[in-house]
Amino acid sequence: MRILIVDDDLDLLGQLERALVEQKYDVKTVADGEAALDELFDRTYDLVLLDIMLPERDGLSVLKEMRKSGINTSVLMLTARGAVEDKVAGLDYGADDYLAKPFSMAELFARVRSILRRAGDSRDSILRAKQITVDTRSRQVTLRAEPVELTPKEFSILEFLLYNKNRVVSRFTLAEHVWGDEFDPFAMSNFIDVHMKNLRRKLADAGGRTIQTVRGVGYIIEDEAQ
Amino acid sequence: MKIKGKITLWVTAAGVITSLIFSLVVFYELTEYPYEFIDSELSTVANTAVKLVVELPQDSTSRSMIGASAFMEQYWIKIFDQNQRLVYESRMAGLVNLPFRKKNKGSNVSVNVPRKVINLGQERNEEITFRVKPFKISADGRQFLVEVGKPVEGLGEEVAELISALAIGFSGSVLILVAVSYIVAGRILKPIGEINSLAKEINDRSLDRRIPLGKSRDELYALSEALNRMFDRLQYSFDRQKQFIANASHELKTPIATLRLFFEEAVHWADLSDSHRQMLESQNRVLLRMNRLVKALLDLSALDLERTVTVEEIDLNALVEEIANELGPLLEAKKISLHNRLPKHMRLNADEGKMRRMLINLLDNAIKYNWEGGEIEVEGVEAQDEVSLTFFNTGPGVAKNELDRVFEQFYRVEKSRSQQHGGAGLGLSLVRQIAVLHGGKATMESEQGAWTRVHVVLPQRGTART
Repeated sequence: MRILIVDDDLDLLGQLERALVEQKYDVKTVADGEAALDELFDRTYDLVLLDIMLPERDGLSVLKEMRKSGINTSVLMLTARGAVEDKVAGLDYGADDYLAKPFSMAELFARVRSILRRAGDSRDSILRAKQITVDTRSRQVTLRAEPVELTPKEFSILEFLLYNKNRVVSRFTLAEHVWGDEFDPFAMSNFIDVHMKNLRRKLADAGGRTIQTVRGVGYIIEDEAQ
Repeated sequence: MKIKGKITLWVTAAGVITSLIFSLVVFYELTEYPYEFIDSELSTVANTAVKLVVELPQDSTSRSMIGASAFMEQYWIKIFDQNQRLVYESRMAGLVNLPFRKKNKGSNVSVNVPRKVINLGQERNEEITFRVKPFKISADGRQFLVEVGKPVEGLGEEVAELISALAIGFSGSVLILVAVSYIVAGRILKPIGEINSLAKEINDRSLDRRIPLGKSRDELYALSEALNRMFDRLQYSFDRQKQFIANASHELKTPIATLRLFFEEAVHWADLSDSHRQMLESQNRVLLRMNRLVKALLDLSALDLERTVTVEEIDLNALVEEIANELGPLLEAKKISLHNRLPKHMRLNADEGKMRRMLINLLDNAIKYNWEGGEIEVEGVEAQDEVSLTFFNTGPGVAKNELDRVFEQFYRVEKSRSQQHGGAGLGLSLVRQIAVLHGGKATMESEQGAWTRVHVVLPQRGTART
């Protein structure tokens, strides 16, 4: 999977590159809009992480230009502006998703995987770990082929942990993902536990072997099988 | 005192003084002139009388000849020679006694003359006024003292009539002056009043409006222009300040994002000791707290912009219900019971995102600053053109002198306490700003150690500005 990252902040660019390379993606980075377009015309990418505020040519214009030229690569917009207008404009121009800075690594991975799966085969909409399967499209969850009823919040937590399989996800990041940033994630993170307890019960995982607790940090789903 | 009153007063005072002086001059002239006329008449009479006395031989018959002159009989005349001897006396002088002052000046003398003695047209009280004047006349080498008088009955009435006419004219002109100066002052000041109310409106609502300039380039034009220039400068510096906050917060986001990713990456390094991991985790929390602050600042600066308001119909009850549901775990943790007493399907035309933001902040505060096992009550009244909401919660409350300051940016009643809650001191300031942006207001009342109540009033259609 090839990802192009476009951002004018070199520190962030380096940070994103390292994190995604570690996740076995093929990553290329550029720092301005014109270079991004050059790169997109030269090679085929599966996903572009596109910042909105860019020198030479801003992200929205890059997006417009590439869509006009028939480049259908998935686009995840990154922006420091939280403004709704930016979001709407980005999605109108054909962006697949939108992330406001500063996003968490887990959120980035979840979005990237979700976009790449959507762009690919429908079979890829199934997430698996141990005896659990989660269909992200139909939102069906099964345990040993038996359907499990989850509340929207429980589903959101499980899906997020599966997208970040084998990585510790902090309770704060989980809260931010589940409740959004309008609520105070510091306050809400204390209540992830409540949902976690219910989720584990429904998944017959009271002992916490499937969803493991990492003390003082958060939760992790470990699964050797890819 | 208002300027209108002052102008009226000054113009009236000046007018009154002017017309008073005018009236006095007219009065003096009109009352003195007839007497001067009579005095000159008396002088002619005196000279004529002396001439007659001198020309005629000095015996009693000649005296009676003078007496026979009808002309002379209309006057009161006494002529003395240099030896103080009476040489002539008219018939009237024989019947009426008039006191004479020895000054060579005309004067008015009132005496009682019974009508039986002589009818001079006097009224029933039988008093009659004479104009009298003594003359010293030399003729034929002899000196004479002539005392002449003339009944001037009716002249006093003329004067009284004159005075009343002047008084009427005077008070009439005063009334007209007051009315005219009041109206004129009002007309002059009316544009100032308009400028004032416009300036107030601009001040209250939006700095991007200006006072329309009149056609004539008068003082008011200059005033409006000066005010507009002031608004320009104000708007410029306000915009710059907002722009600065927006830019600064915006610029802070990318480095925060970089740091956040670094911390999260570092937490996963295998060779970290647990204590290092926890240290990194707590650094991350500090960073995220900073991010919330930056976000709140960015929100505040964006909230000043009216164009960010998109009005739609909201069901407030459903919205509160939804948020209360989201905050459920927070409520459960503190065993707080929340009562949503809003009317079913309470409609409000407002910006949904911002209302949501406001309600979250209000309820979040009501939970944070509440007792364990406390209560929260949301009530609302729907009026014709506005909706008023009340958020009541039990809790430690706020001191009276801090009630208004809690809406200020970065104001926290108890620093350490709210930091523990994760507050940035911007929550209520956002609440007020959202209310004001919708043309409403937010106020707080509290009983320390017992409860707090926040009132939010939002106009129903005042949000038509998008």
